[in-house]
Amino acid sequence: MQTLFGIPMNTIMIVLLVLLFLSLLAVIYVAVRRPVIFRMGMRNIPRRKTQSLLIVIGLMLATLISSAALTVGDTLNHSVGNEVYSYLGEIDQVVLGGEFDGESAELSGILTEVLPANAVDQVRSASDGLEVDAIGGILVSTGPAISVDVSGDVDLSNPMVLFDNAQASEPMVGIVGAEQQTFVDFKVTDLDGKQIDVSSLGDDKVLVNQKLAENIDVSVGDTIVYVLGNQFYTAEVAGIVPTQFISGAFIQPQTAGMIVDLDHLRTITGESEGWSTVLVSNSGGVRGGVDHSDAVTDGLNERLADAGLNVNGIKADLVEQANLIGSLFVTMFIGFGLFSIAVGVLLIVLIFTMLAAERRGEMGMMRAIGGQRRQLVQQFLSEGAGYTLLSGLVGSALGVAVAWVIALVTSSMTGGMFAISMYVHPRSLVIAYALGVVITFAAVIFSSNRASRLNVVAALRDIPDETHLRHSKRTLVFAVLAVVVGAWLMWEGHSRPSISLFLIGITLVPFALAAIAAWFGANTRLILTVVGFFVLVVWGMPTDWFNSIFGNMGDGGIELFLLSGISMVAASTMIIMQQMELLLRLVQMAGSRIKSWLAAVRLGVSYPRANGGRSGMTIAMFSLIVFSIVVMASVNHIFMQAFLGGDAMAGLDVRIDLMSSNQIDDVTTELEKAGVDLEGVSAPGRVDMVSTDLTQIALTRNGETTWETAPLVYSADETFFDLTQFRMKYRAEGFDSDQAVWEAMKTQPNLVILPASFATTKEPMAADPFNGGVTQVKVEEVDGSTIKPTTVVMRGDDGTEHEFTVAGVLDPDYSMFFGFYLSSPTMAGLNPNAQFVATSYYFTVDSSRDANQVAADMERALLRYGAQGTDIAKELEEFQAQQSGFMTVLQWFMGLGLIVGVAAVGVIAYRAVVERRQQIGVLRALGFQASTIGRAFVIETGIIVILGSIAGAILGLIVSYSLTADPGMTGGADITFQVPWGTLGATLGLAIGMALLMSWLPARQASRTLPAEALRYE
Amino acid sequence: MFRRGSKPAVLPTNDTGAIVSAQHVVKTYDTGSAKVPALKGIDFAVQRGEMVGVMGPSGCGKTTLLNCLSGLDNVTEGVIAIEGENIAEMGDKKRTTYRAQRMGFIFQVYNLLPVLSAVENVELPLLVGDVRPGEARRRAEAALDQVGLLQWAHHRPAELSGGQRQRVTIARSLVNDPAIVWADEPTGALDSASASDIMMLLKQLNKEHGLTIVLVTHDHGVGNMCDRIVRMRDGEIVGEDIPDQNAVFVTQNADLLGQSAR
Repeated sequence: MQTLFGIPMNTIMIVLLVLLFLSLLAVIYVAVRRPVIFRMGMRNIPRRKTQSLLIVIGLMLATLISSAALTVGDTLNHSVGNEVYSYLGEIDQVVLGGEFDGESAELSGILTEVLPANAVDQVRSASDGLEVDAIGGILVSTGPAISVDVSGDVDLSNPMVLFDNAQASEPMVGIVGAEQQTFVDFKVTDLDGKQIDVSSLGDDKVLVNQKLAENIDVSVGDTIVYVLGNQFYTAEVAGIVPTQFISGAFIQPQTAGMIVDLDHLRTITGESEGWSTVLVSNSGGVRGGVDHSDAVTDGLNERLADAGLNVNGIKADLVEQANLIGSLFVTMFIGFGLFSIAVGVLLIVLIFTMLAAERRGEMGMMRAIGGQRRQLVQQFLSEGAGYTLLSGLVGSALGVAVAWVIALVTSSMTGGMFAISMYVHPRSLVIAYALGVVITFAAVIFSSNRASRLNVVAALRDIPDETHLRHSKRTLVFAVLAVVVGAWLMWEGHSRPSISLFLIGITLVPFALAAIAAWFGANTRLILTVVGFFVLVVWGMPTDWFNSIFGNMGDGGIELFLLSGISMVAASTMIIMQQMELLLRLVQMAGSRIKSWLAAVRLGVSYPRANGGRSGMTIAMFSLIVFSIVVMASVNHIFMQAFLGGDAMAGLDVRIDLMSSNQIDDVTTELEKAGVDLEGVSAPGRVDMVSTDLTQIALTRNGETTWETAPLVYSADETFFDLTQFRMKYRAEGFDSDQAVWEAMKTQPNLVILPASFATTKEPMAADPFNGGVTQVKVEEVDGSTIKPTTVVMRGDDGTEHEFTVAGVLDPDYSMFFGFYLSSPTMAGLNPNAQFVATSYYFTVDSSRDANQVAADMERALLRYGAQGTDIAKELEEFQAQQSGFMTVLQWFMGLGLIVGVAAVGVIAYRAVVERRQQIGVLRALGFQASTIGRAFVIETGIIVILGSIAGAILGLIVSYSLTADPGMTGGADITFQVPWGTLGATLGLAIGMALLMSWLPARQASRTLPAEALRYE
Repeated sequence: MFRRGSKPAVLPTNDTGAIVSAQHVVKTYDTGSAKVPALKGIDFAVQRGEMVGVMGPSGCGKTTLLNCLSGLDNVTEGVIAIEGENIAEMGDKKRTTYRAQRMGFIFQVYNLLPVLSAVENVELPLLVGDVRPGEARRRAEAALDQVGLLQWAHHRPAELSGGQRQRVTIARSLVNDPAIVWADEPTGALDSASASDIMMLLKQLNKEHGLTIVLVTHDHGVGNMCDRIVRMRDGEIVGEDIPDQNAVFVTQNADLLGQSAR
């Protein structure tokens, strides 16, 4: 991972190291030049052991979060990268058929195109002068493979006998044939690292890759049967080789494959001299070769353009993808982790503010005997160093452990496509550690600097400092300056456009105006409340409203989520604090109704009012935590609804998938022949994924038309349209019912059906990796269910344009369909050269039949075609489980903030008890039962935590509602907003419950102390 | 801690009119590394309506005695009975309830809750005693009126002078109509004029309302205002005086007390 939020990681590390160095220099300066101050700071650490422990935990968590997020990125990046290198080995580029038109050939061409016999020589001569050290051609095909029991006298040429003796099968196996020299040049070894030898394989021996060996449970010497072109071939497993591109996993990594004798493969495929692809290895070895990839790819493409050959820089592309995946995950984790880090920063400020309050008398004395303010800051800095230097180390180490768990769960999301190998880049640890320490130092300096501005006499006598509204001219100048900066940010944000800048500006301006109004003596309570509500409205309003008022400034990145959280929480906390009096009065009124709670309530409500700063920070902390978790839960919910709705397959039960190389003429007859019971099973509806040359689609935005990446195109037959009872979100004008649309699809040419996420009534989006690669079509609503006739224009490689009319837009429930749906006749008329890449047959199954069993029976019956049978409901369930598992990990990660918050409450409660021990003694002397005192502490914490949590929950729900209505988030799907009650309840329950427990424990302990002992305490 | 095995056969009773009595009370502080004897076998009684001063030099055990007599602290040996009941057998909850209903406390450093106003501080003992809020507020204001601070009822302690704060403490100690008030150095943090005011107030309450008061002081002048002075040294009672009630109230150095005791 090289960048974070667009900033190079090395730059981040250097900046943080410089800051760390300066911080340490400051501490060393104090230790050497002011040893007494240093000792005073350090000796404060063991004074209150429990408190120090809580502080260390709080500081540790901030480092842990950064360390975990960065290590997750490193590990995923490294694991995916590793996978790429071990998957491709020496292969850096593959040469495929088709003319080079500025874009590399699609890898799927390996199964559909055949290169001429002289392709290898052409590539070799074209590579002169380029950093290429090996070239070789391979021929590939696909088909099923079966492991069979040959212990008895078995006639494997009889399919029925074969199936009876089948032990395990793999419907889709990549089969590769190449000359021995190619395997030598590309350094292909077996599992023991020995060079493989294919020269002695002959017709009856194969080398299977590890994946296939595992899937059908075979080892060296076992017999397998593989099927090509409906013919069965029996072979002995001569060896097992790693699962690589060259050993059959050429469709995608970690798939089954095998190597057969080249001549034998040529015979059975009928391809006597051509090649599927030519492999190219760059000099520099497995990892170093990728450095030459761009030069070699460009050079070869230039020289081979006339030969109809096209070079795909497969390794460089996959390595880049690996980096992208790493960056994407780390950005997500860091982005969401920033909430926890923000909570951690608040905690540190709070801790040192409280420590300063505790030591007010000591500080007053220091100042009285001539100590400078900076010496007070130095004392806290020394103490802070003592806490953070060690806790940062522990936090970084624990972060690695947390990252390991996250990476494991995250890898399951990718369907175990790559093996997780834990990797920690030393740079990440340095960044995490330095970040934790620097944040702590910054927070310590900020809070101790504030605390050092004390009135010496008031501190010595332990009476409150007199507070004055600061009417200095400096305040006014700063406020006016802030208005100007805010206005500039708004202007800049609007013209760039950058929604983040605009929102920061529009938040800054009212705050600054409030400061100016306060300077002139206006009622701050009213003004700040109004400003708070204004900020909430601006940040919380749905995108539609925002765009219609301020204009469309695009979408923000993940940093906008953080900014929205912090701004809204700051605003709501300000409102709460301004209206605290009113809120506490309400609590007191409610509490007073329970007679036995009267005294506890009276005490409980008094302290939040008196300790405004402390209460405000705790409220903000809990707001941030709950806000982030609630929004995360809502995003999860939106995602699940948008893309994984329970009705996503609209009643279709079973799907059979086939690759293009093994087509079946009549699937029903084939199934019947194999004895599959089709009672209660519908006729098959066929959908073909088609490889067309329609690669671009016209996208018109703001009157300007651009050509964007076209979606996948599917063609469906009449039976499929008969089977489908999909509801439409929109029908084109002229269709009275959804059924009329389906009927029209069967008979009228050039009609197209779009999934919901492909159509929008708003500004359409172009395809990018973050919206699933979907270029949207703008449709115009006539009423809630009808759209005006919409024309979609797509164009082919030769520039020929084709127009289609949108007949309907599917209901968002059917999210598993992801492409343009045309009828088979439309497709045939459109592009006779279109090739079927894959075919799916859909069936509905009566409730009397078990869909899972039907799918298994069909797969078994069609094994020779490499068919894969799927119980659709089960598949969807598994997919949902994987996705929600990942989301849950993210939620748990954000839950780390909750631990920080609970630790904060622990620190506050512990401090409160220590501060008030003498008061507890007085209360006990006055007749307060220990339980009443414990209750008072719980009420006090409860008020703060409940106010913070509820504010966070409300803000989270507001933002979630906006996200639900944001097409950028939902991909245009019509999502119903739902409160995530489960997560909300659990989060609030946990946050409030843990916080109350943390406050009750020290209070209980303190109130059990003998009153006389508490009274003696100083 | 109090050892049940050391309980004498006959409990002290209030047959003689004693509201509080102590028999052979021993209190030893265990600091871990050493055992520090604070009370070494005290026998002592306070009669109803009496105003008793406990005097002695710093560290002689005055405050410890007051804490033990009032049930704020446990004794190591011996028995203390309040209104005939052995407080060691009361249990924490009962003892606490007893304090809320029958005792008042005045401390040297006021010990008011800084986050509550004067009237809220005063009504606290009533609120724990399940008195209705309205009634509690009425009685708290009456108590403040009694000490001459009604107009300061809604001020917080930080906004009051030392003398005013101590008056609030006195109002708090009176609000539950206690049988006995314990005062630990009630004038220790006050100037002589304020101290005089406070003592006159306590004396008045003692005389006019028959309030039993036990106060700890090392101020000779304060001691002279009491009906009886118990003198302590090194954890033991070394003598008792009936002070000269007509003496002029003056604050004196605590060392004088030690000399007068001798």
